[in-house]
Amino acid sequence: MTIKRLFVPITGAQLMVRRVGEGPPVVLMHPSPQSSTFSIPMANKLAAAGFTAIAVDTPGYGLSDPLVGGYPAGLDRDHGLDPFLPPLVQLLDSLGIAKAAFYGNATGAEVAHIFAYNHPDRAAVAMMDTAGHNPDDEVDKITAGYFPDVTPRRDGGHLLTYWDMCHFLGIYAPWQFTDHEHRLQVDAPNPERTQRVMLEYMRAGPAYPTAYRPAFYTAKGHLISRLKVPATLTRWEGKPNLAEIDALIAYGLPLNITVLRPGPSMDQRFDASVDYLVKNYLKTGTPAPKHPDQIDRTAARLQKVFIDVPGGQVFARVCMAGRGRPILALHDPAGSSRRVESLLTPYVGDRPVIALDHPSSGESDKLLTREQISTEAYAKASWVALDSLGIKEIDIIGRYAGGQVGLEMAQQRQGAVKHIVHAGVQIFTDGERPDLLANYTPSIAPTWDGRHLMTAWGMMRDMALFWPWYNRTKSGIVRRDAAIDGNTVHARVEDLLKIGDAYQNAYAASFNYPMAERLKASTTPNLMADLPGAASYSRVAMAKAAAPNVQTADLPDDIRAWRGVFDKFFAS
Amino acid sequence: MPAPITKHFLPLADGRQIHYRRAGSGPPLIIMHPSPNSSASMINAINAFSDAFTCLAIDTPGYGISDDFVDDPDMLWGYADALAKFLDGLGIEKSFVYGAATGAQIGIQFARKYPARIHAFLLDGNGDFTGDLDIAPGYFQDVTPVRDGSHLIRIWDMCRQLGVFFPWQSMRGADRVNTDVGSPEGIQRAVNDYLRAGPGYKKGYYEAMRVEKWEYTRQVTVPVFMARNESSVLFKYTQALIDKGLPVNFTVLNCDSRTRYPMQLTALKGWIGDRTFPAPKPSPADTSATSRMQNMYVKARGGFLRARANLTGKGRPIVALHDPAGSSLLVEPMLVPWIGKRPVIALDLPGNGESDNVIEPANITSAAYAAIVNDALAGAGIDQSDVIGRYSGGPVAMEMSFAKPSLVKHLALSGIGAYEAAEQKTLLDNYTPSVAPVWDGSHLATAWAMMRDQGLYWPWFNRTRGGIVPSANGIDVATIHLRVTELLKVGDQYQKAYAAMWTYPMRERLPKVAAPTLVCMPAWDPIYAKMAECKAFAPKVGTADLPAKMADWHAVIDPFFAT
Repeated sequence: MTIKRLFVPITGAQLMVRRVGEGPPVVLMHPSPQSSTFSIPMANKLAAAGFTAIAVDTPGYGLSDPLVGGYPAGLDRDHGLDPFLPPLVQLLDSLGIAKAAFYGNATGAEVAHIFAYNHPDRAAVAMMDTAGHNPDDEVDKITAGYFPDVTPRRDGGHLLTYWDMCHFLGIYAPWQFTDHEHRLQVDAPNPERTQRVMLEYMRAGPAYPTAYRPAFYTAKGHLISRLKVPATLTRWEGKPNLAEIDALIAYGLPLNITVLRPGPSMDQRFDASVDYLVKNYLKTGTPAPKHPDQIDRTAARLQKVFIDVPGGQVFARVCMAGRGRPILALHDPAGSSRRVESLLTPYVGDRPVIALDHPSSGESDKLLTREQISTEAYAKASWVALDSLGIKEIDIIGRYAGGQVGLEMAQQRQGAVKHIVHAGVQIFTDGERPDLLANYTPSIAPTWDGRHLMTAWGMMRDMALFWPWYNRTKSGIVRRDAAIDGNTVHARVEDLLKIGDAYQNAYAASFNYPMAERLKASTTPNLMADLPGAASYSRVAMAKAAAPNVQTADLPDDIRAWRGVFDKFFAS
Repeated sequence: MPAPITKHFLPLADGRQIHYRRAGSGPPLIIMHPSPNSSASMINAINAFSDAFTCLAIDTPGYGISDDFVDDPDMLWGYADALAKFLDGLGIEKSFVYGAATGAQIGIQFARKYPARIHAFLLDGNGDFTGDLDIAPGYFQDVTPVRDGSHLIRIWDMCRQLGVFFPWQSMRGADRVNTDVGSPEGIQRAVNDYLRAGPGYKKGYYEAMRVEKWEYTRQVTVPVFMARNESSVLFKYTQALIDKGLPVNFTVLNCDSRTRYPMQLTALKGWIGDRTFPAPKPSPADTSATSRMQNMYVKARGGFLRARANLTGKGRPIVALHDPAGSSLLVEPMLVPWIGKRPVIALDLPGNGESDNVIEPANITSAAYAAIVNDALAGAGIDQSDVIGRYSGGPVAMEMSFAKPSLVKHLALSGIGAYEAAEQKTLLDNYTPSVAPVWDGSHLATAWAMMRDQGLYWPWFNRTRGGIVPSANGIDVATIHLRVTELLKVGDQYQKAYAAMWTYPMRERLPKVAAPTLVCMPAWDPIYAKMAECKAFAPKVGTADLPAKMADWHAVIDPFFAT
């Protein structure tokens, strides 16, 4: 049994779930901010015990869309998690689940008991692993300073705010306290772990407190004790702060809430809940959930989808509505499908469009090791994904190195690629290569002090200011308006951090690609296009000189107008 | 060779001080710097004019190491008044004035309010910002220290982008500055000036932008020579000012950055002609009778060591020496209780804080530091002292007494110890990562995290359970910020200063100290156990527990000094 990531359509949005097993459904809700990644060990245990585990990314976290219409203002503390209930009801509906067991950790436990109270007909059991009881004034103290603002700043300093918070989650509890009494007597987290936590925060973005903050306030005896459905409370010995859970037990729980008392290990903690479900829920014979389509194939909007390929899954943004040959957009080495979305937007509804995250980039599984990364491997993986979608013939729009991948795809399947647009041309002379290979891709591996974040930020910002970005002299100046605002640079840095130092291999593959040779030999029409003000503009002419068979075009400043240029070419 | 530059503090009536550089002879020329720099940024100008003038380059109050005593920053009037006080303090009735950028605007307001006190006025880097609303929004960022250290990155961004766009926060191609980006070292120097000015850096800077208008400039009635510098990033604003029309007392000097100073000098000399103007008197003493801790320079090896001092007390001076990455600011609190009772002096060791780096970089040892401190104290007329050494200041104090036994009457050594071979190696290998400036400013993240973790772990790089220090407040932002600020001033030389401390032969040297010696530490010091070790191998020394707060240490040390 392999755990899989899937999108489930709900009203106006998509929720991501991890699904594994076949049997009565158990819905798993994760702690804040995190995602269903946290739930993987428990999901696998449940699957092995005969259940279907549905581990949900809470709306606004992981890859789930945020709450449709936003988080409403003016909710009182008892109702702070209520806005998360309708999407969960819709999730059950989409999966054809009449009634499921709910299991949650921390924030997830809060969501589970609030859901079960409000929808007793949809919750067979509510399992809280772990919850607690904290008076409001205590919670006020804990949450003061707990949620710093991480809105992207032009200087990248918000990355240090993220890093500080994620690192100190392993030093103090609550993390922002600084007195010795609240110091955790443990080793500091290693940089890799801090970065994993940080990427979860970055996926949630500045809205990361949306479920996190209200969950602090629903951990209350008067809310939990009103549950009418069967429920469990896990009193796990390994929990650092047992006092708050004991306070909840001391508050007085009704008989329908069973207290589970596992020993200190993680296995003991999870097994206690699995055992309970096996004894009390498995035999109900509740049917396994349906397998709904991840996307609405008739909807004229880009939707997220995971595509099964051998060994794992590839992430894509697609719109299948419209007629004619699908268009595939391919991103550059440190990017993701998000960075080519704007190229496809003008076609949404008119022609089917697909943007893939290369394997090991963005949200795709790490299907390629660093050493396996090559233009050929990217091309092959793209075909595997397209096969899975049943797509045989395509036009390609490649951003920089994406165009090279397109060329390889055409080479790998003669006649299947009808046109290739190179939006930004990646062609280099032999003289340029050694310098680029040596300097373009410094390590951004996690460091103890978070300084790699400054390197990543400085590099992604300078790519808009200089060519090559590390030539910070007069001769390197890119003389045009520079998109170095916080949000733009942040999106690029987030993608970069996801691929990590494997981006060095991806760039090397692109720098070393025999572009001139491949263009000359290409039997597919190639359009080399760029903005006249761009640093890379001269490469259009370089490509034309090297391969007179290619076509060239200037792109207008407004990206929404690029379609006009592409359409002329596609019609040729 | 230009005339040597000396450095001074002018004490005002309330004890606050203006810092200035002085060079040359002849009539006085006040030189005022751009924001948020200091007189250090005007050294080329000083050298250009010191042949013909007594150059007096001030740190604007609140910038560099001048105290901020300006209560009325509105329209820079308070800064103009401060300049008048400066002239009064030096006994100068009338002076030549040279102002660059913010310095130009302060000069303009001074010239409007005190026209009788200016002979002639050099304007540089000035213009007309009227109607240019693009500059101010976003120009002044909040740099209040925050626990994650991101305020340092904000300062770095401002300083770096000054070499990319003007105004620095622009993203428009039309605002791109046609130049190389500054070197990391140059950017760091600018960052250090922001750190000196602190979160109030915008106080005079912002007012200077507000008054940078034709309507005020044209009201200057004294003779003006104004640079029209084609290579300046501000050129278009200078031209805008000229285009609006200047009064007849203004002479425009068409120049570039290369020809600017010679043209200005020629213009001034031409204006002076055969006339002679009195030269200012010698500079008065740095310090005054006050209850404040003041800045003071002591000379050593041809350079200037900055001290934080108060000399109003009686008896032997108490000298305090700081730790490897620190400065006098880190030991000043321990001296404050003695003010008025004993003279107190906390020295910035060479290369640290605001002291010139007069130590031989290839020979940074406790003895080398001690030789320089002894010279400095002798030059200041101090022949007897009680010395407090903190961490690496301890071995330096010991070496002072070996080199000149009569100078050191008592030694109070806090945080000293013997480091055995294995411990030395671990510390040498790990304790002092490079904080040399790098292109992306990431050394600031290293500096911040290291100084933060020094409060959380011992040694700070042992971030395991075993390294946890039970600190009462693990993240004290003000302290971390101060320590990082001082670390960035000394830079990677701190590596050698630390190495000198760890490799100091404490077991051999401590038993040989002749002066009465007290080894003392607060119980929270992670190397507290080394105090008992010291007593074991040097039985003559006394030991004592210090109170938790440095401000209370005198309670233990004062009785010892009285013995």
